[in-house]
Amino acid sequence: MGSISDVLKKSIVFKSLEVTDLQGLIPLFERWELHTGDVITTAGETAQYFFIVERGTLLLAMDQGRSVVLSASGDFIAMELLSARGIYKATTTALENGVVFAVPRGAFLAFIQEDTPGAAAIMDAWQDYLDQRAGFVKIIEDIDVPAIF
Amino acid sequence: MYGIEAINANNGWAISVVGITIVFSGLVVLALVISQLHKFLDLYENPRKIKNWFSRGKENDTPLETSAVIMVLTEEQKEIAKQFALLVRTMEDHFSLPRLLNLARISGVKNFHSNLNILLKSAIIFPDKEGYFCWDQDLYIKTISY
Amino acid sequence: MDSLFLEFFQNTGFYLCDYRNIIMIVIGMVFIYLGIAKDYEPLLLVPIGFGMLIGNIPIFKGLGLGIYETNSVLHYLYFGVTQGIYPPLVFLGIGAMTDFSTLLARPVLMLLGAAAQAGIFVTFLGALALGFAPNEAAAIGIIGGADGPTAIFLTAKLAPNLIGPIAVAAYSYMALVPVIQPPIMRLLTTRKERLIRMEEPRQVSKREKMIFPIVAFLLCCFLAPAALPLLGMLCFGNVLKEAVVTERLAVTARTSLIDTATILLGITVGASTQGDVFLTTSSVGIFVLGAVSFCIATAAGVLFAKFMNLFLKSKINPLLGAAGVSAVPDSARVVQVVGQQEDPTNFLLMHAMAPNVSGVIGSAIAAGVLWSLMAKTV
Repeated sequence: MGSISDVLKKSIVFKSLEVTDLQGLIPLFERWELHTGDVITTAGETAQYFFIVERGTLLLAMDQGRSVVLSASGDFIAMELLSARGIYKATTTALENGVVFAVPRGAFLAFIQEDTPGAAAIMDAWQDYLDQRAGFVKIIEDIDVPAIF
Repeated sequence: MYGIEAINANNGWAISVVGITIVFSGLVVLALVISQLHKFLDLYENPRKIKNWFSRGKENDTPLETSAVIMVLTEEQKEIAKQFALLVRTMEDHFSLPRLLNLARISGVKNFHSNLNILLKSAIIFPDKEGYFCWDQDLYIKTISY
Repeated sequence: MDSLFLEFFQNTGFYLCDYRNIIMIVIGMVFIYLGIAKDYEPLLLVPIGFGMLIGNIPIFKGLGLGIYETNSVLHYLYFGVTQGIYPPLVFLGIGAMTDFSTLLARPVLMLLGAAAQAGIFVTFLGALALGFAPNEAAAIGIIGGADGPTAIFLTAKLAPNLIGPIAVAAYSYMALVPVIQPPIMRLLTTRKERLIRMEEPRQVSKREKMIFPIVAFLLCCFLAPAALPLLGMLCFGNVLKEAVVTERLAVTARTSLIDTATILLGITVGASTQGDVFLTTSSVGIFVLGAVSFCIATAAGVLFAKFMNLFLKSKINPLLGAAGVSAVPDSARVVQVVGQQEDPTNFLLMHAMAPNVSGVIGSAIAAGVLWSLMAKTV
């Protein structure tokens, strides 16, 4: 069983964080076991959590039939990818048994809104990650991160 | 006239060399063309690949998209892959994955979540980076006949 | 009344019989025996063998019975041979029954079909050296292609006087593939080489199979337009097969049509071997050259496969080279048999079909090339 710190170290979004920043983040995450077919977010509902994948494959179904599949350990499901203005915009379904770490949305946003090098590193890495994994979501929404998600 | 003298007198050496050269060239060219034929057809069927040649940042592709290894499927999984292939045929070239999942559910495809996942992991279904997905027919044929 | 009986007796075969007719009748019966009892190319040897019996019944000249008499029924049927009509029809049927999948899956094996055509050109040189005219030498050389219809077609165009011996030689050696080829194959390969297992061929899509005959036809016929009658029909037959929507035509081409053409071809070629026309010194020379040609073609294919192995990462079993002679599918079957004598679990037949069918294409191109090079001398 992997720990959240291992997963964060593997994540493109979090791996550049200093140890102290990581220590601030780790307590925010809780471990969820997923089973095939589990739906962890439903589009249109109030967004409560963001997720980081430890193992398993997740399908994020968005509007207009678009979707993203995330399966690598450290894949982060958050912000434009998952929610807009406090509402989930994607329905997330587990395509196989797996494990995710869930972080309360509010607590995470509070963390990255701090004017710290760690928060800035996360945001820069997040933009790169989003470009690689689902560049089209930025085109759809063109959200001004982090102010309005 | 007999022997070498007869061959020389009738230009035999040149005719033989020209003859075998033409036969060889013809079959070599044909072999070259048909060895590339399936690649051209693959591009015709998956025009996305042409776009990928010109797109930058290819090195950042995920393992899902670049997987060249053929996944070994059980006979049951192959049968279900064939059912998915039939469903995909009813959809556009760039299709919606949630819609495919829903079609599989409605059509009674067994374990549709995990079997769709297998098709994703085997890279038979791959993302087009615009939020839709494509079907790699060549890889599908290789996988089910492996 | 006695004189009438005597006159009738003088018109019977018993009276007119020549020792050459007897020899040819015996040869005809051997052909029939080989076809029926030994199962050597029965669809060819039985009609040819019986044709030999027909052609060697001693007849009273002038009755319009012999194949070389212009007003005879046999002569009209023989027209399809002398004008090269039957071979393209046979090729149409071959095209409609051939699956090019193995060739498409591993096109490099096509080179073996090309290498085996070396026999044609070496024999051409041999025939020249034995004093045959260039056009006759070319017709004799094509025996090395191990393709009966191609040999008949080219001979009809270049040396119609040699059709009988060349057709009989070509079909005889094709039928004797299981006897001629194995010793050469064993001689030129080591046990280790014969044990080589081939990689599983990739799956070939329907679309590829559909496009192949069109591409092959255009490429080969642009290169050697004289191959048009044979390759055109071969590829057309294959288009009918692969198009699916023309299944009815494909079925006709690969059943009734090819059978009709084969019957008429076999029986008339057999009938053309009248002892007085056939048993000549040049026929003996043609038979010797034909055998040499066949052996060289087999050896060239096997040696070229070994040569290719020097460069290929995934080695090919050199026995496959022997299938480059186009006797379809007998030489491929021989490869399978020889391979399984070393390792009963090694299945080479499917792989051998690739050089085998490319041999058909190669010999048709070779015939086209020889025809165009010799056309001026005829």
